[in-house]
Order: sequence, then structure tokens, then C-alpha cells
Amino acid sequence: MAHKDDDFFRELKKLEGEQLLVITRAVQLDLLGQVFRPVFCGTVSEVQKGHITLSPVIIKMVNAPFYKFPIPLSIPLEQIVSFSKEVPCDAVFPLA
Amino acid sequence: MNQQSEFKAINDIREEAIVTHFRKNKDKKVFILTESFPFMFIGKIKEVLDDTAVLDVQTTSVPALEGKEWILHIDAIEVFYIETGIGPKIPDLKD
Repeated sequence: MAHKDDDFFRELKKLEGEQLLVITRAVQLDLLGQVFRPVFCGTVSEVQKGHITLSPVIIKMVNAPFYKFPIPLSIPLEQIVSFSKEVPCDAVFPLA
Repeated sequence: MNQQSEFKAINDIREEAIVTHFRKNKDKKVFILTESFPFMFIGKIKEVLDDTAVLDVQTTSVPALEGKEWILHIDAIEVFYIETGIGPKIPDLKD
């Protein structure tokens, strides 16, 4: 039971220092009136049993797809829908 | 043990790990985004009860909801950042 989890955890640990594009579960999020899709891209600074932390991290807002967030962001593993290390943070793609 | 219950156990382990992480950071300042209204909370983690965090909320998207104690379901947190003293400080995001 626990060893299954450890396999994935060990793989995640290897991503420390790498850039990751992470999509989470919410349909949309809202930052002081700015509505955006939960698409985050950043360098993995920390991997723990329940979450990963991206620092620095950009939020891919429709009008500001390279908005650098002023603080790191931690993402609970249970909220992550998908992630890729092969999409660079400066990639441009539609967010609508 | 069949596969389905194995996966369930992994989900439980991760949720428990997040709750433990919040409990370890009691009295720290936290920034939280949720999909649900009012979307953003900035405040201090006062207590962790089961899978909920008791927050002293200083800032939300809605001024009328600030300065209050809020109880937040930890499973509903989409992204967060806890100020630990090592990393950057949570800015005053109010305009």
C-alpha cells in the first residue's frame, strides 16, 4: 500500500529543480477579481508527501500569460490533475 | 487488497499529509486560493481540527468577510503558501 505511493513520491523527488507545468482541479480561480484557469508553471523547489511547491511560479492568466506571482505556491497532490516537464514556461498556448 | 482500495489509501495518505503540514505550521501566516467563494484567504493558522483549519482571516476578496475567524476545509484548498521565515513574505495583496 505505502510502497506504491513511494514509487511516485520518489519520481516526484527527482523533479526538484526542474520546471513543471501543473494543472489543478478547479474550473477557474479568482485573484482579486482576476479570473483565470488554474495553470501554473515554475521550478519545483520542494516535494513533500502531500504537496509540491513551485518557486518561482508564473500564473498563466489570459491577459498576462507570464504573470510572475510574488510568492511561491504549494499545490496539494490531490488537487493536481496533470503536469508535464516538457512544456516550457515560456510556451504560448490558448487559455480560453 | 484490491487495486481500488489501494488507490483510496494513497489519496488518504496525501490528504493526511496536507493536514499534518498545516498542523505543523500553526501560528504561521498562510495564503490560500479556493475554487469557491470568496476565492482567497490570507490569515493566520490558529488551529487544525480534523481536516479543517481554523483561520484568523485578515484579507479576502471581500472586505466584509475580513477580520473574522473562518474554518476552512483543507481538502478544498487549491493552492497555498505558508510563510515560514525562510521564503518570501506574503505581500499585502490589497490594491
